[in-house]
Amino acid sequence: MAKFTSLKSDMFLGAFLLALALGALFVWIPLDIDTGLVERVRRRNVIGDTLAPTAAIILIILASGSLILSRSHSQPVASFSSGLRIFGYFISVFTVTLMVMRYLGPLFISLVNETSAAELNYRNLRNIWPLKYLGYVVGGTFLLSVLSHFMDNGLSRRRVALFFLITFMIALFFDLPFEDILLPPNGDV
Amino acid sequence: MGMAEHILLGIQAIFAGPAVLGIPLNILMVIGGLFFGIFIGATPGLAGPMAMAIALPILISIFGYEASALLPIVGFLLGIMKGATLGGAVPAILFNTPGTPDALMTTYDGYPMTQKGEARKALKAAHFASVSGDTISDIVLILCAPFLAVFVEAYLDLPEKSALIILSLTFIAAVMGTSISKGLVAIGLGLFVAFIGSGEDFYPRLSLGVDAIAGGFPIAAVVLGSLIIGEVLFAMLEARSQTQQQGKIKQIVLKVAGKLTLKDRLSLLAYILPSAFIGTVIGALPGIGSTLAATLGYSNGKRRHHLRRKEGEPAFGQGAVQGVASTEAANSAVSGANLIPVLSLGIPGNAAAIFLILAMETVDGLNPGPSVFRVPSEGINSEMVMAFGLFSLMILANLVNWLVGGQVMQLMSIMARVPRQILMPTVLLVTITSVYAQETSLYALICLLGFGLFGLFMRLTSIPILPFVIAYILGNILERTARQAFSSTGADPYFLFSSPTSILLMLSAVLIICIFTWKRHKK
Repeated sequence: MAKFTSLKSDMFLGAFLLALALGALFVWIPLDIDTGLVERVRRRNVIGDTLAPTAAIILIILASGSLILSRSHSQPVASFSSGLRIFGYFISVFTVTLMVMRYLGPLFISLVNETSAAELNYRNLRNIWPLKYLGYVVGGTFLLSVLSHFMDNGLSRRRVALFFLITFMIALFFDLPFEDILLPPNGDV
Repeated sequence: MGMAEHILLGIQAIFAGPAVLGIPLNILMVIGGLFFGIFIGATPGLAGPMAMAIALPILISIFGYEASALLPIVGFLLGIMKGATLGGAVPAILFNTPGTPDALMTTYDGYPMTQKGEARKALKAAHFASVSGDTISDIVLILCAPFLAVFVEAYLDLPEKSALIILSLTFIAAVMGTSISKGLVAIGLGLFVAFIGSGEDFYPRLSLGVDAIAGGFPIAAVVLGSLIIGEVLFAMLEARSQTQQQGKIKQIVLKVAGKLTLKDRLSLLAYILPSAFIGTVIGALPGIGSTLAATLGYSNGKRRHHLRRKEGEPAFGQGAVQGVASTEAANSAVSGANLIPVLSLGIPGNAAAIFLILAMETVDGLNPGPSVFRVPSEGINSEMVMAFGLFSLMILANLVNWLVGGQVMQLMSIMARVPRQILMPTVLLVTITSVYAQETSLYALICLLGFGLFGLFMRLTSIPILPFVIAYILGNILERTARQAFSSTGADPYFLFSSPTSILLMLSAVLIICIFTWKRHKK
């Protein structure tokens, strides 16, 4: 797999890091830290909260400047747009997974409430099997299936069933022996 | 109490606590960790640090944060560390697939031996060499760490300790990755992330007024995200790229045979001992890692074999059992020695050491650093007792490894057949679940996956990930030490150059950058 390590991409990386570091140095740090580099507290000089992050940023500026100026040898370049697509893909998959894990259980309960005129509350039922596994198992199966498809360029029903089983086994592994451990999203609802 | 009494108390400590089926829990945990580590190492695509990362939050959830939890938790992690190195040789020998990166050189001779029908001999040689290297390394650790810590405590004051951390970070930046600039970028980023939400002012610095990051990012999310999730995502990209280029993976018919006689073992010692020495020296230096140790051990063995090879014996690269032994002894010798900087200086040298430090800092009972081995004028130093308890568990793990490690290793060969398309997503889900088990918050998962993508970005741009994580762990320690040093020297702005030792350490840091820059430029 081609990495973004060519002369051109190293220069681009250096410029990107330099821009971020300058933004942090001149915008983020001054606006978000109240103390100076060195402060006078109780008639003694002490190091302020600004010094350490400033030193870290100066290190990044120097190193990224050196990356821009370096004369490294060229290697194959992966296109920048394909890199962005990969990150976009992973972000979408993670977002959907976390949304399914977080909202599927409560959504199911609200559907039950609507269809049966019951007044159930997910929080009160989150320790009841199989409701406590619902969001986790469906979200987990989705995550495994989509990522496996990403690696293999294909996905059979049998494999989805296997992933369902694996996710269920992981849920049991964490839930059955350990009373205090909660599966996602049951600690948040 | 003197050091001898602390050693005795340390040995007693491993027998303390509850027992399961008559076996003390601490002992059971280290043995369990060892077997689990062999299982992980034998699975291509998984490595010891991955298993340690997944196990740590689960172990903390089970045992809690009290000092009594330290030995079972760290014992289990030490077991994984030892077992994974050994297990990595299994797929390398049987399937030409290194289970861990440092087992790559093992494939050069191990797999040709399998093709010749000598797989069992290769596995036995790998086991013999690996456990020998590990044992030698542990002995060096037990002998050196206390004395190094006592030396540091006696001769290094706050300015020198600040300079020592700076030197370590510089060294790690220089030796890891493709360029020093990228290593320094990683260090800078790690320090900056560590400083978010920390500080001494009432307002948590750099938190952008967001309550969620007022206390900084969850440490498990940053470390596991960048190290493990990033690695898993990168492995997925590699697998996707391989699938597109090569299609499906071929199945291999396996024939496990061949014997390793006592005479063979004795003759292998001439390769194992120098390799173990190389691995121990490399392991004691922060940041270099077992892959280089394996490479140097193999090269050294190859030179020796070239000079002494008898007629009819295979050369290195053509199925020489000495090649397997040289590599395995060197990479296994790293695991004990890399605890020297951890225990005596509080500085992690590789990914496995990061998780050990993380465990020690999360659980009460042992704060790694020079004070661990301080002999008190009266009473006991409970940290030293814990440290010797850990040493005792390591020796015990080695004994178990000598006795049954070889058999377990052969049993685990089945793991090499698990497809990566199933394994990698499963590791991702288990990591997500174990972080949630510890943090109980979806916010922690968002941080975990965010830092996972950040880790992937670093891998794609060849910015080394380990300096980032080590700088993140050492960031607040460095700032705290520097603040104290500044105050103790009467607000001297040149406190890092206030003594000959600190000047020497700082000059060494500059020199390391210059030398490595010059060397890379020359290449």
